[in-house]
Amino acid sequence: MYKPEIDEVLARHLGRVSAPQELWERIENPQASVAVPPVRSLRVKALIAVAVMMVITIVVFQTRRRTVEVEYRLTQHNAACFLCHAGG
Amino acid sequence: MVLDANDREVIEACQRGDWDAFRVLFEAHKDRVYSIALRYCGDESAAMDIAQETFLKLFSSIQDFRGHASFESWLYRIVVNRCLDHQRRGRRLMPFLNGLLDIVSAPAASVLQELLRAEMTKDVQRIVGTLPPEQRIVVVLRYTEGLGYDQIAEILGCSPGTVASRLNRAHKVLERRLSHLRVRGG
Repeated sequence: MYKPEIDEVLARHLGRVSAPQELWERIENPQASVAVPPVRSLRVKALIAVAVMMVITIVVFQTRRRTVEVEYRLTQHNAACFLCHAGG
Repeated sequence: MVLDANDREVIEACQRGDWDAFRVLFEAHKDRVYSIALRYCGDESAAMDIAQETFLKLFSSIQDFRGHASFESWLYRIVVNRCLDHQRRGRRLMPFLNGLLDIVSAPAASVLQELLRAEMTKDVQRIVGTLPPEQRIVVVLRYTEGLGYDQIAEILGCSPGTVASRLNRAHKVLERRLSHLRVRGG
């Protein structure tokens, strides 16, 4: 069942706020606000760039490690073949 | 609300393309429009976008406004439609992402101060943000603007009974999720 206290909490925390000063500038010059990316979207782009770099680094590291392992196994395999053939 | 002679003059001047009259109209309604947008989407950057789009739409379509309707209801309808459009464009995660970025980028002390100062309001805002759009907009119009059921119904194009039902469902959800704030004296 709905209790009236919720009215008080909502009225207190959802009240009206003042619009930022730059709102009129954005309305007067809407193209400028589109052309200049907001700081927030720059931050998002920076965060995405860092994430992509990290993924690339991990992929390159893993690939390189696998290549080294394969090379090592091949070397061992070749050595084994050499011993067998030399013995035969 | 019936327009007084002064409002009517301002609107008529806007319809003639008088930019100064637009400014007067903007100053009279900017806080209302921005507050609805902010309380609906919970994100300052998105609220600025919605408020900007609302006023651009208002100025471009003010020719269509007929004096026999309530100007406020007409304006509310524009901002409500912008809010719902914004929601449909799928930017639900932005408030969360922006909050995360604020925490990452701001100095620790100011983050702490900000968290302490606005913790409860943010809690309420966040929980209201989890409501379905049709319930959330009713809550915002009711508590940010203090509108009655009839006016909300007129703005949303539904019956007062539907408004009451949506508000009742929202109350039940909020009652449960906000119980910790009341315990803490919020």
